[in-house]
Amino acid sequence: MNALLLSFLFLGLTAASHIIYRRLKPAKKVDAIPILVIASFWLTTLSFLLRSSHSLNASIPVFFVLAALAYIILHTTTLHQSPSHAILLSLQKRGEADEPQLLQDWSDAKLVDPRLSDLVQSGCVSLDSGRYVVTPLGKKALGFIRGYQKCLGRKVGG
Amino acid sequence: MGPGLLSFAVFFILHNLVYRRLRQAKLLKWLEGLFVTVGALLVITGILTGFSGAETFMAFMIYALLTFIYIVAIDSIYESSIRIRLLREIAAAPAGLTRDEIRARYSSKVILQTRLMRLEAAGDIQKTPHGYKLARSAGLLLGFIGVVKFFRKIYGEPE
Repeated sequence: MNALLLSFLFLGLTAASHIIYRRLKPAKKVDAIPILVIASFWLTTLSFLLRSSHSLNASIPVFFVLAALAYIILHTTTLHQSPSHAILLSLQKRGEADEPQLLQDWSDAKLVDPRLSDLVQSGCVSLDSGRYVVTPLGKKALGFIRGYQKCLGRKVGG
Repeated sequence: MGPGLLSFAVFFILHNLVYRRLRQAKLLKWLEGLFVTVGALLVITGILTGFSGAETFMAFMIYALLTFIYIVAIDSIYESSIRIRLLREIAAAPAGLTRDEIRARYSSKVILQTRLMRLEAAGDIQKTPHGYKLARSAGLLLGFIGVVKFFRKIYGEPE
């Protein structure tokens, strides 16, 4: 039980360290490396403290790594607000709203353009004389995505 | 650790086996039900086979984290990622597309309508004579959004 409580304490320390880091060095995009470095430091310290044999010894590092990955995902979610979440929050605030009212908060410049820029920055798409074209890297990524969707019988998302 | 990994494997297999047969509307409810059922079986099996409380809890946490990572980071991306949809639209035009052409095919209006349809099908919102409102079952999702908002505040992100 002590090992379990220590694990949660060190997870809390990982999150707190990363929050302090983010406050000191704000970032507009997700950077997983600081989280992984911080998590590795605290995991090493925890492993040292729990170095004597314990029934949970094999599980704790796995749990810690998974929790760090889940934290990275949560961190990504905070930086890129999901449109579905924005709809729910808008309805919570207004009580009731129709499509034109909900669309007031949205625009192509807000929803589409930043994501186009992300695609260009990631190398999946190139911007050439005002036209967006898929790169070989983008085609590879799409091939993988299409394969997975076909496997599951899914339609185009978005 | 083993029971947690095995439970996730069961979840993954069942989810992908049944997925094709489900209508879009049932997907989220199916995922929720599957997660709870497999998790409950894990805990019951742990108790009955003599694992300690700490070991059972750890196995459940590993299962829950793996499921969370899979659903949010992998599964959801295929369902609702705007970037992937944009990539597909651009790839469908061999000569590429201008910004205006992309907006004509996939605009903020289309994004909104798709999500309204999905949220209504999942039972998170209800259609009313004047538009839409939150359904009672949206509580869990709003709870998660609350956590995200809390972290945004702590990170110092603007509202």
